[in-house]
Amino acid sequence: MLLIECPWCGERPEPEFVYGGQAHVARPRVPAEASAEEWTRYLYLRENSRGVHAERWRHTHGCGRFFNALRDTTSDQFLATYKVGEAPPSPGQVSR
Amino acid sequence: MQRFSGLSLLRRGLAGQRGWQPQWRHPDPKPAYDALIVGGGGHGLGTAYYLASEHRLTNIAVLEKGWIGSGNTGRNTTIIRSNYLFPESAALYDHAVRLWESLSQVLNYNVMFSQRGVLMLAHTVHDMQVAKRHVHANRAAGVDNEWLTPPEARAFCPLLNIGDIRYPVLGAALQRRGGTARHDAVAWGYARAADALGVDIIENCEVTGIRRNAQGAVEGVETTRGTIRAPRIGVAAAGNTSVVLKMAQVELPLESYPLQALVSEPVKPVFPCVVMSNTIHAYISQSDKGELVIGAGTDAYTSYTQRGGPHITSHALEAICELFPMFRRMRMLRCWGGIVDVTPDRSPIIGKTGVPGLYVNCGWGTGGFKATPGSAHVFAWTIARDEPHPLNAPFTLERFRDGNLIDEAAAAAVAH
Amino acid sequence: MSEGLRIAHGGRIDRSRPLAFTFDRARYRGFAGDTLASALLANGVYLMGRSFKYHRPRGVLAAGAEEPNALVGVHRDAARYTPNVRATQLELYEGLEAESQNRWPSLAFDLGAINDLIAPFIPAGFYYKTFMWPRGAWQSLYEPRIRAAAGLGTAPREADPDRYAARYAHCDVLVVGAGPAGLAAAAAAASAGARVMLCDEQSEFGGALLSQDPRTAARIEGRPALEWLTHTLAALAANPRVTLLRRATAFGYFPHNLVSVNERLTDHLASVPADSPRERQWQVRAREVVLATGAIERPLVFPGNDRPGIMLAGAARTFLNRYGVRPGTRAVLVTATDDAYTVALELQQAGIFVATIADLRGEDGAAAARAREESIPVLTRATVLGTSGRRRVRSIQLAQLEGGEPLTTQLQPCDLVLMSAGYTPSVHLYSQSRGKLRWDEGLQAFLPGTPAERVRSVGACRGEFALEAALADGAAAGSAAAREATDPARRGVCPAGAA
Repeated sequence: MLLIECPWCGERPEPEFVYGGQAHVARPRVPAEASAEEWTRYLYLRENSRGVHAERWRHTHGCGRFFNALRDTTSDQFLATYKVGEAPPSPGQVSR
Repeated sequence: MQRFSGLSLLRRGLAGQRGWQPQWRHPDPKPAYDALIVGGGGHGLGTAYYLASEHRLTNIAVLEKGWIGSGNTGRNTTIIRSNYLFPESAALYDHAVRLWESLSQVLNYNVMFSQRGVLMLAHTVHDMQVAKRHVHANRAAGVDNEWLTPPEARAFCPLLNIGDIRYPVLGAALQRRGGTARHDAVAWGYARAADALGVDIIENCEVTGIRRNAQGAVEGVETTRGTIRAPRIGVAAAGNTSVVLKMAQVELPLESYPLQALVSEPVKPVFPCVVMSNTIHAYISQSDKGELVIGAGTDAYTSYTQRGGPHITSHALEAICELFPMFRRMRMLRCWGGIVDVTPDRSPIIGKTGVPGLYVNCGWGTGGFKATPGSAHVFAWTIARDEPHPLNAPFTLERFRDGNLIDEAAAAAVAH
Repeated sequence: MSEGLRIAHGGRIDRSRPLAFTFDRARYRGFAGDTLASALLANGVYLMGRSFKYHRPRGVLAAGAEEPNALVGVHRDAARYTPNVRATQLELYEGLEAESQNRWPSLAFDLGAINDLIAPFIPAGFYYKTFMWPRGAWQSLYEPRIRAAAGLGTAPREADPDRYAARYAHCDVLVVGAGPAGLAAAAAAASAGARVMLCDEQSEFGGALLSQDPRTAARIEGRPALEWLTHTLAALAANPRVTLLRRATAFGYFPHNLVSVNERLTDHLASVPADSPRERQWQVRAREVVLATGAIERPLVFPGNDRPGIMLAGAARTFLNRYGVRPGTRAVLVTATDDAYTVALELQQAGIFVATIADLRGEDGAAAARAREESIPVLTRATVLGTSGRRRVRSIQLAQLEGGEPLTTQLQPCDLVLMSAGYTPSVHLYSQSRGKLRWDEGLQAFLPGTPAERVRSVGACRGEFALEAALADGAAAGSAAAREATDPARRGVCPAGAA
């Protein structure tokens, strides 16, 4: 099980969290005005990256907050976790 | 193709095992083919076989980045059934079951298909309602499925614990025509039969790019073994579909999760059928070699590592031990993972991609192995005729835009 | 009988505590510290199992976890039956009841051996090539028979009454394997102040040190190896920041340095205590992991290399020095390394007649000269043409190669054939951690390459076979691991620069 660094609570094990899927998927501001393609993209189309993946996690058995993470899906190693509203660090910026 | 039979074993045995021919060639890729299949698993190799045998397209190649069957085909728990809810699904999966029933004879390769029955357990009132709904829907669609009471379920699987446990067995849906097959044999059987018809099987050949012409149609692939031209490309590369289709600028509604499975130490025959439980996240059968084959739900996050966490497999094993308390002392011998491409409605995508000449067969999630011959058959039709077969016509990429989802989350029977 | 097979002194068994046990309902005696395998060998029992498919008679090949043949079922009571236990790992206790598997009606006379007679017609994968006609016959006729013939042990039939516990643990450094390299790593990490966990799948810590002849074993830090062992273990046991786990197998390496360890608590006891779980599964989250998992000796490939009495040279050494058992009376060694010569001399010292050392290599070095001094014939450029003996090896046919062709041949009567072909580093856990392997041309082995987690491999499991090198390797890794684990700037368990 993964060890995930919640930006508020620190390192906690995976069962305390719920996976939130790909991060930065913007909901159309006015859904009724979205085209079928825009709505399909929002609901269903995903990067599904083989490599660095920006994703959400929610610390349900902890602080309850959502946050974002950059994780390499070919090794499951986290590069960074960052709060909602913050820009994702670029992989080059990251050092642990 | 050198014919396999008991007589051939006798002859070769007397000759000191000399005279066996290689089951398939290992040719270098040609510069061009009439069609390419990307992905050398059961679906891809089967597609190539049907293209050659039913559509007379023999100047084709299967490109596999590793060795054939090394992806999900070699990693699944070999369960075969067709008891899905909607008539579109039941028809497609039952097409596969009917092909399974004669596959060994057609391929002259024993795929060890065994219709020993698949029992799907119900543990709550909700489970019972869903299961009975499936039973009625299946029977209305001409697919066998029947409801059993707990004592009847135990009569069918004598080891089943129908006593007072945390999630008691309240009944079960049984599909007698369901069962198992030997997964590796399916890949090898299709490979040998396809090769005999002239299909080139190219291993250690990873597709790194898809070439499109000025009109946007595909014209070939870049690979680690050079450029190969073809006007038609079918992608059946479960676990890497998003990666490959991105090379042609096609976006898909897929998320790829780890799916773990385990086998136990081999023991004498003790488990007669297949038992699955959606609610407590475990499924089990016993292979012909004696090993208990156990599968779990997916891990929670997307990953291409082909492994997951121990809490997932522990949970599945706890469930197995509740249902079959005599197995607690047994030890697991091997544990591994695959990469399953999951769609929002847990139904596959088989058909055109919007890029002329490019076809995709993906999104089987946790349940692709059972459909292998049926999927391959209709995918070959689609590629050969540039139109879907009636059985895969509903499973389009466009259905997500148009809202015609085929929601088989319950029938998938694997937690994810 | 067995009078001549037990050595009077030495080994790590306790001759003051004899134990009674049964194997296939025959009664035998052994000693505390024996495994079922060593006790059976001491009683002159060589036939311990039957092969999976052809039901060929099999004896022990190895002395530890890598044993492929001697799989037995252990019966405590009706509900506590455990199949497929390796006799080389089964610690002897008073009243142990074990039985052989996959044979009928008996181990000595098994009707399943008919498969061996028809072996030419049922080669590997034969079932893919037949059983297809008539169509329904696979399921109704052929498959049930295949299933009945397959499987090794018998699954337990009753609900398991034993309890199993689980525990989570966190530490700075987890060391897997308590041979010399692992002990050096644990000691170094502990003296650097780290919280250390050390686990080993055996009942005693020490690894390869336990198989050496104490009279000729190398010295460590100026003292006899076994004394170093006792001293090092005492220091570790006295350290409150160190957790020692015996009979504990690290069996899974999961993402982010989570290692699963299975600790066996009661299987070695004569009676099951009412208040103890049978096993405890540890989920250990370690900031740093040191793998000291050792290496497995390689068998040789030659016709008839699987008869009872044909075993690894290192295994014979372990039976001799650790368990005080002569695994045979008349030995032939077949080797591609110098290790076998040490074993040959030890066998001779213990009163076993060493008929020949067949060396596959061409040279005639110092080791061969030493052997000849002790009147042990050495055959160079040797190869093996075959062996004979059904329930136990009776002879081996050797040949000397000239220009690649067998020229002179000799038939050597023997009841023990030892193989020595080098070692394969145990990289199982390392591979599970998704670290890359690299091929080493010199050692002809896969070694750990670029790791994917915070893990270091030390000693034999990364090709450092010599004792001094393994100790130094372990100590260096233990110190480095402790330093990195306790670095205040350190966050998380993901390696730096993972992108």
